[in-house]
Amino acid sequence: MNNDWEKGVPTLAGLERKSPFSVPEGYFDNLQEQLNSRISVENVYSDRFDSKFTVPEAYFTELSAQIEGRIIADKLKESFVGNSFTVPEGYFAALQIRINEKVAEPAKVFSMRKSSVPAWLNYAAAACITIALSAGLIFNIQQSKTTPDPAKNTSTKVSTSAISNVSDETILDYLRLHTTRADMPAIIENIGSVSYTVDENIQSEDLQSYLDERAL
Amino acid sequence: MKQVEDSEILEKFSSERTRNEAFNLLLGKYQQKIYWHIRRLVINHDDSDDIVQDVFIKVWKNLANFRSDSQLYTWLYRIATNECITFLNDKKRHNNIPLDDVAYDLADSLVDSPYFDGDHIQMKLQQALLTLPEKQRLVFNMKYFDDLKYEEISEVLGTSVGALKASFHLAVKKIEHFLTSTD
Repeated sequence: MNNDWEKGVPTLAGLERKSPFSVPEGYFDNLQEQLNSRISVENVYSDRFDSKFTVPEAYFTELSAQIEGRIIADKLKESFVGNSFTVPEGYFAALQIRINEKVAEPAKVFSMRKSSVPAWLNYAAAACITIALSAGLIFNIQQSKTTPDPAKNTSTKVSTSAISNVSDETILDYLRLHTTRADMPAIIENIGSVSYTVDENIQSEDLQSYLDERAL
Repeated sequence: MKQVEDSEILEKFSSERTRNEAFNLLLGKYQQKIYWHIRRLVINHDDSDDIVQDVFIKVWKNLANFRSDSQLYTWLYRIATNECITFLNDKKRHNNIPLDDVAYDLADSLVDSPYFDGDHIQMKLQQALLTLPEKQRLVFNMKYFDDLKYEEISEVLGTSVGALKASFHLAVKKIEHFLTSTD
């Protein structure tokens, strides 16, 4: 080394030129081994990943068009800055107050009073209802078997059987209360099969008035 | 033991069959030089260990593309220097401190390091070096400790020989001043 620089710097020139640093014992012996291990890992990694990545067909030919599209979209977005919707003045301040009020409302308390009826009675009642329903159902099925209905529909059989048990008076009461103008054609159609006895004391005008009133 | 020539290393590395052998020859020849170059710049052994490994991984990956228009060891020094500068810049960024303050940080790790065997005057020299701008510190280290020629340093740093001579001269004067003006 050319030592011209030593002139004028006696302190530095007088120093022993050695490295004051040290390394852990055996460091350089292991360094080569460590590096070889890392390189093995790097090789596996690069074999596995570097060459395995692919892109969809024609990706790069379409990429520039996609980028241009994004640029145009971003420009458009910039030109439509802001929100075109508005809210009434002071809306958000009031909203917060309203929400806080709602939150502060005391929750409704429902009493969970214990039933005075013993539990076994509930079970007994449930069993009785089940037995009664089952018996009724069995009875109905047997009835429909013994009196075969020409109609094939089973549900019709059941409803016909059920209606046959209702008294004529109940049916008439029902019709009196619930008949509307729309029901009239059906009633007229079936009127032949029912015989009506009109009280002789009722005047025909009253009867007409009654019918008009009921027919709405 | 006779040191293997760079040309032989490169030739062996070019063949798949002898690539590992060539790389081990290269490690045997240069690992310590590169380690000490890094250590003088980043001071801390653990940091140096990380960087030296990263450097040689890069060498492994890129040696096949090495063109013999520069010398192998100046190419290695260049990679190591760049890694060190990147490391110091990252350190500055992560700690959110100016580069000059990185020097204080390094000086602290110098004092705390279990792997510093120098005496008081050696410690002062290292502290003086840490007061230098990064480029001057690099030039001084490569000239003073590694005994590289200005032409070789020029290849590593991409700086003209004249500028390097000026940097070294300035560094020497500053260090002398530090050594004589502090306890």
